[in-house]
Amino acid sequence: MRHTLALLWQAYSLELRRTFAYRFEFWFRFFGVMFATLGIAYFLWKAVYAATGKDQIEGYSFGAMMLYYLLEPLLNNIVRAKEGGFLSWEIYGGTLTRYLVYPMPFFPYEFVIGLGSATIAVAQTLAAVGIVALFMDFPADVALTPATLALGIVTALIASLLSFALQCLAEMVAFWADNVWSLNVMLMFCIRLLGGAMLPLALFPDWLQKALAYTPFPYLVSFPIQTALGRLDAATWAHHLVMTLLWTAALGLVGALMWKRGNLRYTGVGI
Amino acid sequence: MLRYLRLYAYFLRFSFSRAMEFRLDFFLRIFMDIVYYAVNVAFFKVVYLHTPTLGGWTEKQAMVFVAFYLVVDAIHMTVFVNNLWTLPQLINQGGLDYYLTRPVATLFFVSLRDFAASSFINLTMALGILGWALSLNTELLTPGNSLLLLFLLCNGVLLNYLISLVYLVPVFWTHSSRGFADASHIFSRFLERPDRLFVGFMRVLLTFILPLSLIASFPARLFLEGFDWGIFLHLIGVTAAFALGIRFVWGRGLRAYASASS
Repeated sequence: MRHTLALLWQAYSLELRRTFAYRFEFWFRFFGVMFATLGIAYFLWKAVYAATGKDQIEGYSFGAMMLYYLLEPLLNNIVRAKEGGFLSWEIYGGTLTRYLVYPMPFFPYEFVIGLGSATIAVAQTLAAVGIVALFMDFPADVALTPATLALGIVTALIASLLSFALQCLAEMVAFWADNVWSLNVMLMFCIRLLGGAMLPLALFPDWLQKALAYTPFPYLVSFPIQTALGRLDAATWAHHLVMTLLWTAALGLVGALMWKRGNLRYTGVGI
Repeated sequence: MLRYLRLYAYFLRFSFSRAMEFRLDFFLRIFMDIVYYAVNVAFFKVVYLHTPTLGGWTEKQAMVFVAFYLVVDAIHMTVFVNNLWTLPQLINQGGLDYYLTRPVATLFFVSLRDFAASSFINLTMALGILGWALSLNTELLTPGNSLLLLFLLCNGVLLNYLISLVYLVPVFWTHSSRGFADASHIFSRFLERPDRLFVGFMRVLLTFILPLSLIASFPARLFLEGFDWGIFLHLIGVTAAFALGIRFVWGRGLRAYASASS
Protein backbone atom coordinates (compact mmCIF):
# COMPACT_ATOMS: atom_id res chain seq x y z
CA MET A 1 0.00 0.00 0.00
CA ARG A 2 2.78 2.42 1.00
CA HIS A 3 4.67 1.50 -2.14
CA THR A 4 1.61 2.19 -4.32
CA LEU A 5 1.03 5.56 -2.63
CA ALA A 6 4.67 6.51 -3.24
CA LEU A 7 4.28 5.60 -6.91
CA LEU A 8 1.08 7.64 -7.20
CA TRP A 9 2.82 10.61 -5.58
CA GLN A 10 5.61 10.28 -8.15
CA ALA A 11 3.05 10.26 -10.98
CA TYR A 12 1.34 13.34 -9.54
CA SER A 13 4.53 15.38 -9.23
CA LEU A 14 5.69 14.27 -12.69
CA GLU A 15 2.43 15.52 -14.18
CA LEU A 16 2.89 18.90 -12.49
CA ARG A 17 6.35 19.21 -14.02
CA ARG A 18 5.17 17.99 -17.44
CA THR A 19 2.48 20.68 -17.57
CA PHE A 20 5.04 23.40 -16.96
CA ALA A 21 7.45 21.92 -19.52
CA TYR A 22 5.13 23.20 -22.30
CA ARG A 23 4.54 26.62 -20.76
CA PHE A 24 3.67 28.53 -23.92
CA GLU A 25 0.99 26.08 -25.02
CA PHE A 26 -0.39 25.80 -21.52
CA TRP A 27 -0.84 29.55 -20.96
CA PHE A 28 -1.88 30.18 -24.56
CA ARG A 29 -4.69 27.68 -24.18
CA PHE A 30 -5.70 29.06 -20.78
CA PHE A 31 -5.86 32.70 -21.87
CA GLY A 32 -7.39 31.76 -25.24
CA VAL A 33 -10.27 29.88 -23.62
CA MET A 34 -10.84 32.67 -21.08
CA PHE A 35 -10.81 35.33 -23.83
CA ALA A 36 -13.22 33.42 -26.07
CA THR A 37 -15.61 32.37 -23.30
CA LEU A 38 -15.80 35.76 -21.60
CA GLY A 39 -15.65 37.72 -24.87
CA ILE A 40 -18.57 35.87 -26.44
CA ALA A 41 -20.60 35.83 -23.21
CA TYR A 42 -20.06 39.56 -22.61
CA PHE A 43 -21.27 40.65 -26.05
CA LEU A 44 -24.05 38.06 -26.27
CA TRP A 45 -25.61 38.84 -22.89
CA LYS A 46 -25.10 42.58 -23.20
CA ALA A 47 -27.23 42.39 -26.36
CA VAL A 48 -29.85 40.18 -24.69
CA TYR A 49 -30.20 42.40 -21.60
CA ALA A 50 -30.41 45.46 -23.87
CA ALA A 51 -33.06 43.85 -26.10
CA THR A 52 -35.25 42.81 -23.17
CA GLY A 53 -34.67 45.91 -21.01
CA LYS A 54 -34.60 43.64 -17.94
CA ASP A 55 -32.14 43.87 -15.03
CA GLN A 56 -32.38 40.17 -14.30
CA ILE A 57 -33.00 37.09 -16.42
CA GLU A 58 -34.02 33.98 -14.46
CA GLY A 59 -32.36 35.34 -11.33
CA TYR A 60 -29.16 36.47 -13.03
CA SER A 61 -28.13 40.11 -13.30
CA PHE A 62 -25.64 40.91 -16.06
CA GLY A 63 -22.80 40.94 -13.48
CA ALA A 64 -23.85 37.57 -12.06
CA MET A 65 -24.00 36.16 -15.59
CA MET A 66 -20.44 37.34 -16.26
CA LEU A 67 -19.21 35.74 -13.03
CA TYR A 68 -20.92 32.51 -14.12
CA TYR A 69 -18.98 32.56 -17.40
CA LEU A 70 -15.75 33.44 -15.57
CA LEU A 71 -16.10 30.42 -13.28
CA GLU A 72 -17.24 28.02 -16.01
CA PRO A 73 -13.88 27.51 -17.80
CA LEU A 74 -11.93 27.76 -14.53
CA LEU A 75 -13.90 25.06 -12.72
CA ASN A 76 -14.20 23.01 -15.90
CA ASN A 77 -10.39 22.78 -15.93
CA ILE A 78 -10.62 21.15 -12.51
CA VAL A 79 -13.55 18.84 -13.30
CA ARG A 80 -12.32 17.73 -16.71
CA ALA A 81 -8.60 17.92 -16.06
CA LYS A 82 -8.07 14.53 -17.66
CA GLU A 83 -7.64 14.65 -21.42
CA GLY A 84 -9.34 12.06 -23.64
CA GLY A 85 -7.44 9.15 -25.16
CA PHE A 86 -5.66 8.05 -21.95
CA LEU A 87 -7.00 4.50 -22.20
CA SER A 88 -8.05 4.09 -25.82
CA TRP A 89 -4.56 4.90 -27.12
CA GLU A 90 -3.04 2.32 -24.75
CA ILE A 91 -5.47 -0.26 -26.14
CA TYR A 92 -4.86 0.67 -29.78
CA GLY A 93 -1.11 0.69 -29.25
CA GLY A 94 -1.10 -2.55 -27.28
CA THR A 95 0.71 -0.72 -24.47
CA LEU A 96 -2.01 -1.35 -21.91
CA THR A 97 -0.10 -4.56 -21.21
CA ARG A 98 2.47 -2.76 -19.07
CA TYR A 99 -0.24 -1.61 -16.67
CA LEU A 100 -1.60 -5.12 -16.45
CA VAL A 101 1.78 -6.50 -15.37
CA TYR A 102 3.17 -3.54 -13.37
CA PRO A 103 2.36 -3.27 -9.65
CA MET A 104 0.40 -0.11 -10.39
CA PRO A 105 -3.41 0.06 -10.54
CA PHE A 106 -4.31 1.67 -13.87
CA PHE A 107 -7.32 3.83 -12.95
CA PRO A 108 -5.93 5.39 -9.72
CA TYR A 109 -2.73 6.13 -11.65
CA GLU A 110 -4.62 7.92 -14.44
CA PHE A 111 -6.86 9.78 -11.99
CA VAL A 112 -3.82 11.02 -10.04
CA ILE A 113 -2.30 12.31 -13.29
CA GLY A 114 -5.54 14.23 -13.84
CA LEU A 115 -5.25 15.58 -10.29
CA GLY A 116 -1.86 17.04 -11.24
CA SER A 117 -3.51 19.18 -13.92
CA ALA A 118 -6.43 19.93 -11.59
CA THR A 119 -4.03 21.30 -8.96
CA ILE A 120 -2.81 23.92 -11.43
CA ALA A 121 -6.41 24.70 -12.38
CA VAL A 122 -7.20 25.30 -8.69
CA ALA A 123 -4.36 27.84 -8.49
CA GLN A 124 -5.61 29.51 -11.68
CA THR A 125 -9.15 29.71 -10.28
CA LEU A 126 -7.97 31.31 -7.04
CA ALA A 127 -5.77 33.78 -8.92
CA ALA A 128 -8.43 34.75 -11.50
CA VAL A 129 -11.24 35.23 -8.97
CA GLY A 130 -8.82 37.05 -6.64
CA ILE A 131 -7.85 39.50 -9.40
CA VAL A 132 -11.51 40.14 -10.29
CA ALA A 133 -12.39 40.68 -6.61
CA LEU A 134 -9.50 43.10 -6.27
CA PHE A 135 -10.60 45.38 -9.09
CA MET A 136 -14.39 44.95 -9.20
CA ASP A 137 -17.30 44.74 -6.80
CA PHE A 138 -19.38 41.61 -7.07
CA PRO A 139 -23.03 42.30 -7.99
CA ALA A 140 -25.57 42.31 -5.15
CA ASP A 141 -27.25 39.07 -6.31
CA VAL A 142 -23.99 37.11 -6.00
CA ALA A 143 -22.94 35.69 -2.64
CA LEU A 144 -19.45 34.66 -3.72
CA THR A 145 -17.12 34.62 -0.71
CA PRO A 146 -13.76 32.92 -0.04
CA ALA A 147 -15.72 30.17 1.74
CA THR A 148 -18.15 29.53 -1.16
CA LEU A 149 -15.26 29.60 -3.64
CA ALA A 150 -13.36 27.05 -1.56
CA LEU A 151 -16.46 24.86 -1.37
CA GLY A 152 -16.96 25.29 -5.12
CA ILE A 153 -13.41 24.06 -5.74
CA VAL A 154 -13.92 21.06 -3.43
CA THR A 155 -17.20 20.34 -5.27
CA ALA A 156 -15.36 20.53 -8.60
CA LEU A 157 -12.75 18.06 -7.32
CA ILE A 158 -15.53 15.67 -6.29
CA ALA A 159 -17.23 16.19 -9.67
CA SER A 160 -13.92 15.29 -11.32
CA LEU A 161 -14.46 11.74 -10.02
CA LEU A 162 -17.80 11.61 -11.87
CA SER A 163 -16.22 13.09 -14.98
CA PHE A 164 -13.42 10.50 -14.82
CA ALA A 165 -15.94 7.66 -14.45
CA LEU A 166 -17.85 8.92 -17.49
CA GLN A 167 -14.67 9.34 -19.52
CA CYS A 168 -13.52 5.82 -18.59
CA LEU A 169 -16.75 4.34 -19.97
CA ALA A 170 -16.25 6.12 -23.30
CA GLU A 171 -12.57 5.13 -23.38
CA MET A 172 -13.31 1.47 -22.62
CA VAL A 173 -15.48 1.22 -25.73
CA ALA A 174 -12.05 1.05 -27.44
CA PHE A 175 -11.93 -2.65 -26.45
CA TRP A 176 -14.68 -3.19 -29.03
CA ALA A 177 -14.47 -0.23 -31.43
CA ASP A 178 -11.61 0.93 -33.61
CA ASN A 179 -11.98 4.62 -32.75
CA VAL A 180 -13.60 6.32 -29.76
CA TRP A 181 -12.54 9.89 -30.52
CA SER A 182 -16.01 10.75 -31.81
CA LEU A 183 -17.58 9.28 -28.67
CA ASN A 184 -15.45 11.58 -26.49
CA VAL A 185 -16.35 14.62 -28.60
CA MET A 186 -20.05 13.71 -28.45
CA LEU A 187 -19.84 13.45 -24.67
CA MET A 188 -18.17 16.87 -24.53
CA PHE A 189 -20.97 18.44 -26.64
CA CYS A 190 -23.61 16.94 -24.32
CA ILE A 191 -21.81 18.13 -21.18
CA ARG A 192 -21.38 21.65 -22.60
CA LEU A 193 -25.08 22.11 -23.34
CA LEU A 194 -26.83 19.90 -20.78
CA GLY A 195 -24.34 20.55 -17.98
CA GLY A 196 -24.71 24.31 -18.17
CA ALA A 197 -21.42 25.36 -19.76
CA MET A 198 -23.01 27.12 -22.74
CA LEU A 199 -25.92 28.58 -20.76
CA PRO A 200 -26.94 28.56 -17.09
CA LEU A 201 -29.47 25.77 -16.62
CA ALA A 202 -31.93 28.25 -15.04
CA LEU A 203 -32.56 29.54 -18.58
CA PHE A 204 -33.82 26.14 -19.74
CA PRO A 205 -37.55 25.34 -19.66
CA ASP A 206 -38.71 23.96 -16.27
CA TRP A 207 -39.55 20.50 -17.61
CA LEU A 208 -36.03 20.16 -19.03
CA GLN A 209 -34.38 21.34 -15.82
CA LYS A 210 -36.35 18.71 -13.89
CA ALA A 211 -35.40 15.98 -16.36
CA LEU A 212 -31.73 16.99 -16.35
CA ALA A 213 -31.57 16.67 -12.55
CA TYR A 214 -31.76 12.88 -13.07
CA THR A 215 -28.78 12.85 -15.46
CA PRO A 216 -25.10 13.25 -14.50
CA PHE A 217 -24.58 16.38 -16.64
CA PRO A 218 -25.60 19.21 -14.25
CA TYR A 219 -23.35 17.79 -11.52
CA LEU A 220 -20.31 18.19 -13.78
CA VAL A 221 -20.70 21.89 -14.61
CA SER A 222 -23.59 23.71 -13.01
CA PHE A 223 -23.25 22.25 -9.51
CA PRO A 224 -19.66 23.46 -8.83
CA ILE A 225 -20.39 26.90 -10.35
CA GLN A 226 -23.60 27.41 -8.36
CA THR A 227 -21.74 26.36 -5.21
CA ALA A 228 -18.93 28.85 -5.81
CA LEU A 229 -21.45 31.61 -6.55
CA GLY A 230 -23.14 30.88 -3.21
CA ARG A 231 -26.49 30.16 -4.85
CA LEU A 232 -27.15 26.81 -3.17
CA ASP A 233 -28.45 26.31 0.36
CA ALA A 234 -26.98 23.51 2.49
CA ALA A 235 -29.83 21.04 1.81
CA THR A 236 -29.69 21.50 -1.97
CA TRP A 237 -25.90 21.23 -1.93
CA ALA A 238 -26.07 17.99 0.07
CA HIS A 239 -28.71 16.58 -2.30
CA HIS A 240 -26.57 17.42 -5.35
CA LEU A 241 -23.53 15.89 -3.67
CA VAL A 242 -25.41 12.64 -3.03
CA MET A 243 -26.54 12.58 -6.68
CA THR A 244 -22.94 13.16 -7.82
CA LEU A 245 -21.67 10.30 -5.68
CA LEU A 246 -24.51 7.98 -6.72
CA TRP A 247 -23.83 8.63 -10.40
CA THR A 248 -20.09 8.10 -9.82
CA ALA A 249 -20.76 4.78 -8.09
CA ALA A 250 -23.22 3.63 -10.78
CA LEU A 251 -20.89 4.52 -13.65
CA GLY A 252 -17.96 3.01 -11.75
CA LEU A 253 -19.87 -0.25 -11.45
CA VAL A 254 -20.65 -0.34 -15.17
CA GLY A 255 -17.01 0.57 -15.82
CA ALA A 256 -15.79 -2.33 -13.67
CA LEU A 257 -17.92 -4.75 -15.68
CA MET A 258 -16.70 -3.29 -18.98
CA TRP A 259 -13.08 -3.49 -17.80
CA LYS A 260 -13.52 -7.15 -16.94
CA ARG A 261 -15.11 -8.01 -20.27
CA GLY A 262 -12.75 -5.75 -22.18
CA ASN A 263 -9.67 -7.38 -20.68
CA LEU A 264 -10.89 -10.73 -21.97
CA ARG A 265 -10.93 -9.27 -25.49
CA TYR A 266 -7.63 -7.43 -25.17
CA THR A 267 -4.85 -9.08 -27.18
CA GLY A 268 -1.95 -6.71 -26.48
CA VAL A 269 -1.17 -6.58 -30.19
CA GLY A 270 -2.77 -3.23 -30.93
CA ILE A 271 -4.27 -2.14 -34.25
CA MET B 1 -8.39 21.24 -64.78
CA LEU B 2 -9.82 17.91 -66.04
CA ARG B 3 -6.77 16.12 -64.62
CA TYR B 4 -7.49 17.65 -61.20
CA LEU B 5 -11.14 16.58 -61.35
CA ARG B 6 -10.18 13.02 -62.31
CA LEU B 7 -7.65 12.94 -59.47
CA TYR B 8 -10.30 14.17 -57.03
CA ALA B 9 -12.65 11.39 -58.19
CA TYR B 10 -9.93 8.88 -57.22
CA PHE B 11 -9.58 10.56 -53.81
CA LEU B 12 -13.34 10.12 -53.27
CA ARG B 13 -13.30 6.44 -54.22
CA PHE B 14 -10.41 5.62 -51.87
CA SER B 15 -11.94 7.65 -49.03
CA PHE B 16 -15.30 5.86 -49.21
CA SER B 17 -13.74 2.40 -49.31
CA ARG B 18 -11.46 3.27 -46.36
CA ALA B 19 -14.41 4.64 -44.34
CA MET B 20 -16.34 1.41 -44.77
CA GLU B 21 -13.44 -0.58 -43.28
CA PHE B 22 -14.17 1.04 -39.89
CA ARG B 23 -17.95 0.83 -39.77
CA LEU B 24 -18.54 1.58 -36.09
CA ASP B 25 -16.34 4.67 -36.30
CA PHE B 26 -18.21 5.66 -39.46
CA PHE B 27 -21.57 5.58 -37.66
CA LEU B 28 -20.21 7.15 -34.45
CA ARG B 29 -18.97 10.13 -36.45
CA ILE B 30 -22.36 10.54 -38.07
CA PHE B 31 -23.99 10.47 -34.64
CA MET B 32 -21.40 12.92 -33.26
CA ASP B 33 -22.28 15.50 -35.91
CA ILE B 34 -26.01 15.03 -35.28
CA VAL B 35 -25.35 15.86 -31.61
CA TYR B 36 -23.31 18.92 -32.69
CA TYR B 37 -26.17 20.18 -34.86
CA ALA B 38 -28.73 19.57 -32.13
CA VAL B 39 -26.60 21.41 -29.55
CA ASN B 40 -26.25 24.46 -31.80
CA VAL B 41 -29.92 24.69 -32.68
CA ALA B 42 -30.91 24.10 -29.02
CA PHE B 43 -28.57 26.86 -27.82
CA PHE B 44 -30.31 29.49 -29.93
CA LYS B 45 -33.76 28.08 -29.10
CA VAL B 46 -33.02 28.54 -25.37
CA VAL B 47 -31.57 32.05 -25.84
CA TYR B 48 -34.67 33.09 -27.79
CA LEU B 49 -36.87 31.97 -24.89
CA HIS B 50 -35.53 35.08 -23.13
CA THR B 51 -35.22 37.68 -25.88
CA PRO B 52 -37.29 38.66 -28.94
CA THR B 53 -34.24 39.54 -31.06
CA LEU B 54 -30.52 38.84 -31.09
CA GLY B 55 -28.09 40.83 -33.21
CA GLY B 56 -31.10 42.33 -35.00
CA TRP B 57 -32.56 38.94 -35.96
CA THR B 58 -35.73 37.19 -34.87
CA GLU B 59 -35.55 33.48 -34.03
CA LYS B 60 -36.68 32.49 -37.53
CA GLN B 61 -33.97 34.61 -39.10
CA ALA B 62 -31.32 33.41 -36.65
CA MET B 63 -32.09 29.82 -37.67
CA VAL B 64 -30.97 30.65 -41.23
CA PHE B 65 -27.70 31.94 -39.77
CA VAL B 66 -27.29 28.78 -37.62
CA ALA B 67 -28.07 26.52 -40.58
CA PHE B 68 -25.64 28.50 -42.72
CA TYR B 69 -22.68 27.93 -40.39
CA LEU B 70 -23.66 24.29 -39.89
CA VAL B 71 -23.55 23.72 -43.66
CA VAL B 72 -20.22 25.56 -43.97
CA ASP B 73 -18.87 23.46 -41.09
CA ALA B 74 -20.22 20.23 -42.63
CA ILE B 75 -18.53 20.96 -45.98
CA HIS B 76 -15.32 21.89 -44.16
CA MET B 77 -15.45 18.66 -42.13
CA THR B 78 -16.18 16.60 -45.24
CA VAL B 79 -13.67 18.07 -47.64
CA PHE B 80 -10.79 19.56 -45.65
CA VAL B 81 -10.57 18.61 -41.98
CA ASN B 82 -9.03 15.12 -42.21
CA ASN B 83 -6.31 16.57 -44.43
CA LEU B 84 -5.63 19.67 -42.39
CA TRP B 85 -5.29 17.65 -39.17
CA THR B 86 -2.40 15.69 -40.61
CA LEU B 87 -0.70 18.62 -42.34
CA PRO B 88 1.51 19.65 -39.35
CA GLN B 89 2.70 16.06 -39.03
CA LEU B 90 3.59 15.94 -42.74
CA ILE B 91 5.63 19.10 -42.36
CA ASN B 92 7.36 18.07 -39.12
CA GLN B 93 8.21 14.54 -40.13
CA GLY B 94 9.13 15.13 -43.74
CA GLY B 95 6.03 13.45 -45.17
CA LEU B 96 5.51 16.46 -47.40
CA ASP B 97 8.36 15.20 -49.63
CA TYR B 98 5.99 12.73 -51.24
CA TYR B 99 3.51 15.47 -52.18
CA LEU B 100 6.19 17.85 -53.44
CA THR B 101 7.32 15.32 -56.01
CA ARG B 102 3.80 14.82 -57.49
CA PRO B 103 2.97 16.61 -60.76
CA VAL B 104 0.06 18.54 -59.16
CA ALA B 105 -0.15 21.61 -56.94
CA THR B 106 1.02 20.57 -53.45
CA LEU B 107 -1.62 22.59 -51.61
CA PHE B 108 -4.36 20.99 -53.73
CA PHE B 109 -3.05 17.50 -52.97
CA VAL B 110 -2.50 17.91 -49.21
CA SER B 111 -5.81 19.75 -48.72
CA LEU B 112 -8.11 17.42 -50.64
CA ARG B 113 -6.68 13.90 -50.75
CA ASP B 114 -8.85 12.54 -47.91
CA PHE B 115 -12.61 12.98 -48.22
CA ALA B 116 -14.50 12.31 -44.94
CA ALA B 117 -17.23 9.97 -46.12
CA SER B 118 -19.06 9.92 -42.75
CA SER B 119 -19.21 13.71 -42.68
CA PHE B 120 -20.66 13.63 -46.19
CA ILE B 121 -23.76 11.92 -44.77
CA ASN B 122 -23.93 14.73 -42.21
CA LEU B 123 -23.65 17.33 -44.92
CA THR B 124 -27.00 16.12 -46.22
CA MET B 125 -28.40 16.57 -42.69
CA ALA B 126 -26.95 20.09 -42.41
CA LEU B 127 -28.53 20.88 -45.78
CA GLY B 128 -31.80 19.53 -44.38
CA ILE B 129 -31.53 21.98 -41.46
CA LEU B 130 -30.87 24.78 -43.95
CA GLY B 131 -33.93 23.71 -45.92
CA TRP B 132 -36.01 23.78 -42.72
CA ALA B 133 -34.65 27.24 -41.76
CA LEU B 134 -35.39 28.57 -45.24
CA SER B 135 -38.92 27.16 -45.07
CA LEU B 136 -39.45 29.46 -42.05
CA ASN B 137 -38.52 32.42 -44.30
CA THR B 138 -40.15 31.47 -47.62
CA GLU B 139 -40.57 35.10 -48.69
CA LEU B 140 -36.79 35.25 -49.22
CA LEU B 141 -36.66 32.33 -51.61
CA THR B 142 -36.45 34.17 -54.94
CA PRO B 143 -34.24 32.75 -57.75
CA GLY B 144 -31.80 35.63 -57.35
CA ASN B 145 -31.56 35.18 -53.60
CA SER B 146 -31.07 31.41 -53.99
CA LEU B 147 -28.14 31.98 -56.35
CA LEU B 148 -26.72 34.52 -53.93
CA LEU B 149 -27.04 31.98 -51.10
CA LEU B 150 -25.12 29.40 -53.14
CA PHE B 151 -22.36 31.88 -53.90
CA LEU B 152 -22.14 33.00 -50.27
CA LEU B 153 -21.92 29.37 -49.12
CA CYS B 154 -18.97 28.75 -51.46
CA ASN B 155 -17.28 31.92 -50.23
CA GLY B 156 -17.90 30.95 -46.59
CA VAL B 157 -16.35 27.51 -47.17
CA LEU B 158 -13.33 29.02 -48.91
CA LEU B 159 -12.79 31.62 -46.18
CA ASN B 160 -13.16 28.99 -43.44
CA TYR B 161 -10.51 26.86 -45.20
CA LEU B 162 -8.17 29.85 -45.58
CA ILE B 163 -8.53 30.79 -41.89
CA SER B 164 -7.78 27.16 -40.92
CA LEU B 165 -4.58 27.41 -42.93
CA VAL B 166 -3.64 30.60 -41.07
CA TYR B 167 -3.39 28.47 -37.92
CA LEU B 168 -1.44 25.69 -39.63
CA VAL B 169 1.07 27.33 -41.96
CA PRO B 170 3.25 28.71 -39.11
CA VAL B 171 4.26 25.07 -38.45
CA PHE B 172 6.86 25.52 -41.21
CA TRP B 173 8.74 27.79 -38.78
CA THR B 174 7.51 26.87 -35.29
CA HIS B 175 7.62 23.05 -35.79
CA SER B 176 4.76 22.66 -33.33
CA SER B 177 1.13 23.21 -34.18
CA ARG B 178 -0.43 22.45 -30.80
CA GLY B 179 -0.99 26.03 -29.69
CA PHE B 180 -2.30 27.01 -33.11
CA ALA B 181 -4.61 24.00 -33.29
CA ASP B 182 -6.01 24.98 -29.89
CA ALA B 183 -6.49 28.54 -31.12
CA SER B 184 -8.41 27.27 -34.14
CA HIS B 185 -10.70 25.26 -31.91
CA ILE B 186 -11.18 28.03 -29.33
CA PHE B 187 -11.70 30.98 -31.67
CA SER B 188 -14.02 29.12 -34.04
CA ARG B 189 -16.75 29.73 -31.44
CA PHE B 190 -16.88 33.37 -32.57
CA LEU B 191 -18.20 32.39 -35.99
CA GLU B 192 -21.22 30.83 -34.29
CA ARG B 193 -22.53 34.20 -33.05
CA PRO B 194 -24.15 37.06 -35.08
CA ASP B 195 -21.56 39.71 -35.97
CA ARG B 196 -23.71 42.62 -34.78
CA LEU B 197 -23.24 41.50 -31.17
CA PHE B 198 -19.61 42.57 -31.37
CA VAL B 199 -18.52 46.19 -31.18
CA GLY B 200 -15.26 48.13 -30.93
CA PHE B 201 -11.96 46.29 -31.20
CA MET B 202 -13.68 42.90 -31.17
CA ARG B 203 -15.62 43.88 -34.29
CA VAL B 204 -12.43 44.93 -36.09
CA LEU B 205 -10.81 41.66 -35.04
CA LEU B 206 -13.70 39.51 -36.30
CA THR B 207 -14.34 41.32 -39.57
CA PHE B 208 -10.80 42.14 -40.73
CA ILE B 209 -7.95 40.52 -38.78
CA LEU B 210 -9.45 37.09 -38.08
CA PRO B 211 -12.62 37.46 -40.14
CA LEU B 212 -14.69 34.70 -38.56
CA SER B 213 -17.84 36.83 -38.76
CA LEU B 214 -17.51 36.85 -42.54
CA ILE B 215 -17.94 33.09 -42.79
CA ALA B 216 -21.63 32.92 -41.85
CA SER B 217 -22.89 36.11 -40.23
CA PHE B 218 -22.19 38.54 -43.10
CA PRO B 219 -23.63 36.11 -45.67
CA ALA B 220 -26.73 35.63 -43.51
CA ARG B 221 -27.18 39.41 -43.37
CA LEU B 222 -26.88 39.70 -47.14
CA PHE B 223 -29.46 36.97 -47.60
CA LEU B 224 -31.89 38.01 -44.85
CA GLU B 225 -31.75 41.78 -45.07
CA GLY B 226 -31.36 42.43 -48.78
CA PHE B 227 -28.29 42.91 -50.92
CA ASP B 228 -25.78 45.48 -49.69
CA TRP B 229 -22.78 46.33 -51.89
CA GLY B 230 -20.75 47.46 -48.86
CA ILE B 231 -21.04 44.10 -47.11
CA PHE B 232 -20.59 42.18 -50.36
CA LEU B 233 -17.39 44.01 -51.34
CA HIS B 234 -16.05 43.69 -47.79
CA LEU B 235 -16.66 39.93 -47.98
CA ILE B 236 -15.03 39.49 -51.36
CA GLY B 237 -12.15 41.84 -50.57
CA VAL B 238 -11.20 40.10 -47.32
CA THR B 239 -11.51 36.61 -48.89
CA ALA B 240 -9.32 37.63 -51.83
CA ALA B 241 -6.75 39.21 -49.50
CA PHE B 242 -6.63 36.05 -47.38
CA ALA B 243 -6.30 33.83 -50.47
CA LEU B 244 -3.38 35.88 -51.79
CA GLY B 245 -1.80 36.06 -48.34
CA ILE B 246 -2.03 32.30 -47.77
CA ARG B 247 -0.65 31.60 -51.24
CA PHE B 248 2.32 33.83 -50.51
CA VAL B 249 2.97 32.43 -47.03
CA TRP B 250 2.56 28.83 -48.25
CA GLY B 251 5.22 29.49 -50.90
CA ARG B 252 7.56 30.96 -48.28
CA GLY B 253 6.81 28.00 -46.02
CA LEU B 254 7.76 25.50 -48.73
CA ARG B 255 11.04 27.35 -49.13
CA ALA B 256 11.66 27.06 -45.37
CA TYR B 257 10.66 23.38 -45.39
CA ALA B 258 13.67 21.24 -44.54
CA SER B 259 12.26 17.79 -45.27
CA ALA B 260 12.63 15.10 -42.59
CA SER B 261 14.95 17.25 -40.51
CA SER B 262 12.17 19.81 -39.85
